[in-house]
Amino acid sequence: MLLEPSKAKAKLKEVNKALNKNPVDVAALRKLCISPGGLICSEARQKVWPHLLDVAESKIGYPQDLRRHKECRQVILDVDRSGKRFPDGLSDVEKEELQENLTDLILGVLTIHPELHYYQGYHDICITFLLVCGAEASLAMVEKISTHHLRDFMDPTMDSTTHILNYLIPILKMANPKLVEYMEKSEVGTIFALSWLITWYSYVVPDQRDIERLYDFFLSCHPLMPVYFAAQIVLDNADKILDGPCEMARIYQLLLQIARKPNLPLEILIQRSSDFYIQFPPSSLAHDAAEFYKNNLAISTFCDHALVAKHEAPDVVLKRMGLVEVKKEENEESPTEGSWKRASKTVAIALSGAVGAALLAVGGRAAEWVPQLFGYL
Amino acid sequence: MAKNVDEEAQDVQRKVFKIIVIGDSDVGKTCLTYRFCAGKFPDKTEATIGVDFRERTVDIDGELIKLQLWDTAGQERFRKSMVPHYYRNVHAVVFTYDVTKLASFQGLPMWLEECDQHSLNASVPRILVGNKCDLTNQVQVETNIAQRFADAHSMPLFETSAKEDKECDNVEAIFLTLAHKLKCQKPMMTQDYPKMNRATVLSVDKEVLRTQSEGTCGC
Repeated sequence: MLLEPSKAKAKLKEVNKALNKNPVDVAALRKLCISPGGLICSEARQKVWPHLLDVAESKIGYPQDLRRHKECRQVILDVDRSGKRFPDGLSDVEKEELQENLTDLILGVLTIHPELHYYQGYHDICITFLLVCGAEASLAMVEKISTHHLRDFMDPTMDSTTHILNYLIPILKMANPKLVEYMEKSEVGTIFALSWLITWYSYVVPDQRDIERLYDFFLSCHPLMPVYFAAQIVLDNADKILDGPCEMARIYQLLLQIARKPNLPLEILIQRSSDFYIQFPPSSLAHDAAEFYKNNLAISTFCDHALVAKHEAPDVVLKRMGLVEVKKEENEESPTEGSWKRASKTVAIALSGAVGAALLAVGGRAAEWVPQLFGYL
Repeated sequence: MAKNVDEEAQDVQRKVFKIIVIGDSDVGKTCLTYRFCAGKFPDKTEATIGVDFRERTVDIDGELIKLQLWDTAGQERFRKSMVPHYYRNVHAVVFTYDVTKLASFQGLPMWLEECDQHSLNASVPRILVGNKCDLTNQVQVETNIAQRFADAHSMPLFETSAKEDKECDNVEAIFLTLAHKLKCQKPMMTQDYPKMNRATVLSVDKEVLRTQSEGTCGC
């Protein structure tokens, strides 16, 4: 949805006002990002996004020898096939330059952070930043979201990602238990939303402006917000899901197609996602998310719960986790009681899951986020 | 040639077959399934993220058969944790490699092993597809080598190009052969197609045509 020109102009004025404050009024910028229309235009985004991620003063540069990274081959394969995302009318030289920049950006972050693993879809996120902010500024931003918002997706395996996807079910359940029952019966699972989540919808939403608008929103919110947004897409189409055979393929295809439609009601979905986030914060869903696939999934959501509740910094948790001694029989304990003592094998995976999914902090401002959202809405 | 069927207009109970398409990244799984379901090569290709889905209903000997093609991401991390969900209740597996990339062919044993790990019934038909054979001067996987591998694993081999319009019938033949096989549910061994290679793939197409026009199943 585009704002009327007068409203858009007024909003941009607000954006500039917040940018010109000393220090920059990041709280106001976040509110503007969430409210209808987001930041309106790419020019505003280019100025605001670095502040949302607290990297406006960052001076990190591209490391050397990028093309020797072990993921280089896979990255180039995906970059070579990313033309769909490029703006129309680029010359071959410009396309080539953009692809070079994209490869450098991805490999740059991966080289700085050897603990991060490339996934197909990460390149879609990087393109968005490149198109809005350019090669130089994008590195610090992508580095930041990769170690925060996207951290779980960049584990050696996708177990944490699966875990995060499972938050979808309890969110849906809160609004429409009948729908969840139907979806469970169809065995459709949650993987239809995988590409939505790990690309922040840039794999499916066809219009670059819509993608940027969504990024305004996600950059200003909790890392789980893309899951809340996924839930709203599903809920918005509950009638279509329920009106037809209870078949995995039908429902899967329906949902894939819906997300790709050019007329996705973004602003309504954003509004509803924010409402849901406040009504049902991640901490209230953690247990259900684990319950949903407890037979398939060895990871419990134990630390999410505690982390969200206490807004703890990850290093505190890391230290605590390091101290935990695990005994086999403790696996039988209740989720809350035994939460810190689960099998040691799952600790490493679950820990990074918890850090990413539950961590509110970007630039150490974690505790501010929730009250801000409340205040705004 | 089997024709597409307007599904809305048909109120007929039809057989549904679930086919999973697997193989390394960038071998052309998406283009192959897109070619069969949409009849053309995609305008712009992109890496598949997670699992995509396409379907097409075909008329085989007067019976409507719905083929559901699950198109999977090639990157290893996806197949380890995401793809397994899609092995369930699968009726056929299409292993795909790129004839211009030896590594994609060498990766096949791993895919086969994974398939076995998902304890698929031995009667679940498997076929091997070498894609991108339009790039004739870049071929790294010779037909006879691929044929030997296919024979060793009791799979028919098809070489094709999802890109070339003139190979379109060929892609059609691959999936229709599979549809026939699934409809008849007889073990599909390479001896059914003793001379299966690039040169003779078209004869499979003819066989499909013939069996359809005669109204009998030739498999």
